[in-house]
Amino acid sequence: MAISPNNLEPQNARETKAPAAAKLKSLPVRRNQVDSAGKIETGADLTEHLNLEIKNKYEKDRKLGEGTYATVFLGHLKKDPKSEVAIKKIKVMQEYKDGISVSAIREIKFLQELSHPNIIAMHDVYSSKNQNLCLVLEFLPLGDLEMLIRDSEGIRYGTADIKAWMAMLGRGVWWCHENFVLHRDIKPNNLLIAANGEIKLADFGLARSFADPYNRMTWNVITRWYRPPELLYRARHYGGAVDVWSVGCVFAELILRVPYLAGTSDVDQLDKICQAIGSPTEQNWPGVSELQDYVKSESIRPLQKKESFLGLFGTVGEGGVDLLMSTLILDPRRRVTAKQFLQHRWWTSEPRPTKTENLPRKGGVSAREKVGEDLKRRGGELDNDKGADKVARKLDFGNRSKQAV
Amino acid sequence: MPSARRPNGIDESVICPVCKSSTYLNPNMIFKVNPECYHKMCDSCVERIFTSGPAPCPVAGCGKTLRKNRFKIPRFEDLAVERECDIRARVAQILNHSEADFDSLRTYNDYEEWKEELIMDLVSGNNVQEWERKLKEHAKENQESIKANARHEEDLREQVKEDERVRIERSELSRAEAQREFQEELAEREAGRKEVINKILNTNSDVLRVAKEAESVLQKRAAARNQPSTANGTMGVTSGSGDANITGKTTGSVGAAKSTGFSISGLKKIQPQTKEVEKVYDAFDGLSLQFKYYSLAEKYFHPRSNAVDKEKGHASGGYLGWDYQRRAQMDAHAGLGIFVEEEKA
Ligand SMILES: Nc1ncnc2c1ncn2[C@@H]1O[C@H](COP(=O)(O)OP(=O)(O)O)[C@@H](O)[C@H]1O
Ligand SMILES: [Mg+2]
Ligand SMILES: [Zn+2]
Ligand SMILES: [Zn+2]
Repeated sequence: MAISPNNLEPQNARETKAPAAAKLKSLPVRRNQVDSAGKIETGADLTEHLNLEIKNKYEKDRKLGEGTYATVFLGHLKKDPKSEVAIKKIKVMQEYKDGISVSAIREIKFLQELSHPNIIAMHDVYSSKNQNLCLVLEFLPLGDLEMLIRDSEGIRYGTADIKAWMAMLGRGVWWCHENFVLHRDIKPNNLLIAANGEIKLADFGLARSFADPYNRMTWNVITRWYRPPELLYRARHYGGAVDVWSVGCVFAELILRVPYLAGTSDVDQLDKICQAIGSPTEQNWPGVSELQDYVKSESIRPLQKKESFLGLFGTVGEGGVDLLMSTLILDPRRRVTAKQFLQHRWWTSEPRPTKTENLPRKGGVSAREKVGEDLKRRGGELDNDKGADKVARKLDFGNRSKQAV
Repeated sequence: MPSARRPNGIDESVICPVCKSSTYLNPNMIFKVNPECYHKMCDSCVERIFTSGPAPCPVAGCGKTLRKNRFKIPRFEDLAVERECDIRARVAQILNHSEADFDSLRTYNDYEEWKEELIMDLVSGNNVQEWERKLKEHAKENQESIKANARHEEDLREQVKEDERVRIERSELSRAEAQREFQEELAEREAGRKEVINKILNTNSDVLRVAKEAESVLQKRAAARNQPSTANGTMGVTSGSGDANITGKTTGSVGAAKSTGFSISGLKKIQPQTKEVEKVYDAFDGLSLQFKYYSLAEKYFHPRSNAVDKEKGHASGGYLGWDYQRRAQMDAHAGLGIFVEEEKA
């Protein structure tokens, strides 16, 4: 366990932190040597023992929801029945005989590494008796952003609220990118809401680190409606810009309260993008014709002017529209970065973002009861994208892997 | 007939009846017999006496003409048994008929009876001349069928040998296969186990609690010593941002680090800033990245990642060599806060 060079205060940094880290490693070794009876514990015993220790800390309650590759339960610490955690039990897929799927490993890997108020926290990992992996996550009782967006009858929100939510989303994504992690599945349904109203980036099942040069990645990521044009053209080398496009789509959806670019197929998705934003050409996107699936359309749609965006999204003000447009720039190199996104003038312009505690939300207990139902419903709705997810999830996530992911 | 006793002690050595040399002096001495008379003698006597051609048995009172090529090492200690086996084998070569060769079970049984009587007489030395003559006659008369039977028997033996060979081969193969599968399974399990160990150790809160306790103790001690970080030598260079907001804040895990309870190599951590009431909204929510041990140059000379920006399908897909350079910098400096020796412990 290494310590980040960035996280240390100037004083005593090496004296204090490093030995602690060393301790962390040496501890299990010491435990491994002799148990109370004086006999040597094997590695397997130790693992079992530690695993059981963790597993026994939690009690599983009712089911919260189901996703593409996981079932999520509510749980609590045995020591503290009032505590709440979400236990995400990864479904064992046939392809993974050892019971650990690639997406589970991805999720564990990145959740372990990323620690930020706007990224779901992972408390523990353990394996159940059927070798199922269980991630113990912070419980986020107020559903997800999709539920808020869809409930146009029950929930009203304004620009200040959108600003607060988008800033939180922006921070989560920025943090991922600063740590060179691509999320690759940003959508309202994967933005969960904590009890205090904070938005948390969740579901890292498709995440991976930024690729090394020449290392091919899969284009088959991100739920279609939130997928950027470079991935629809099947680019094999891409960067944080893919997540930024998704952020833009979520932004637009928050304003419109319906998905902004809801393509029915990959081709239709590109068509919707051309209609809404403009046709990608060598002029507005140098090099686009190099991309594998680029096809020059007969009827070139010119880039839409700011006026047309103001007409659709004007409620968030000129600054908001400017920011939105900068996330939906066709050329990924010219799209804003997550950092630039947070540096935009809109954040400091009126109105001020709503304080987290004042954000609109589903009311206490009744909303929580509803969570399970809604999640189940959405699990089914995602059918059209399940195929894509599965393909991507079969692939290796390793940085040095020759496989494209 | 000399009895062949095993030398069961240094004193009880065996002596060659011909040359009188003893196994006591020559423990590697080999004894041989010739089926003509079954007189035992040592191998060097056989060589000496019979190499130049057939010669009479040197054992007193015997004198049978023996040929060197018929000498053999007896299979049985009891040479009477050895002799009976030889007789049976020789008879069986001629009387090699099976039930199918007879027109009835009765004639077959008669044949078997006759054969047994013949063998017993040959063994005990009764009517040897007569039996030998009858055998010779029979062999001559039934030449064809004897040969056929011999071939058939040979085939059977070959078949049995072949079957045995295949069986062994198969069982070895399947044993190898089973062994391989077992090894693979072991390796798989081991790999899976290691992974789980890593994960669990990285997230085990008990481990972390102990580590944190140790950390806080060390922090207190370090604070008491009040030594500046320059004591660390060359690496204690702070870069650029002299962020006034973080002054005065105590060290320790902050922000989300507290809720998750773990960190991993080379990752950036949140630096808290003291927030003032209704200051200008900070979209970063007071978080900023502090680069303690290094600062980023505007551009790095790294041919591979610089060239990648010009590579087809890289930049146009949004892949930036700059991102790679930044990551490489982070990875390269990730170890700066660590004592290698202690990490190994
Ligand atoms: N920490 C949590 N608290 C509450 N509900 C959760 C939590 N994590 C996941 N869920 C719900 O369970 C469902 C499946 O979780 P998700 O992580 O998206 O799995 P998948 O990767 O299979 O889509 C989601 O729709 C989500 O709303
Ligand atoms: Mg999901
Ligand atoms: Zn001799
Ligand atoms: Zn003799």
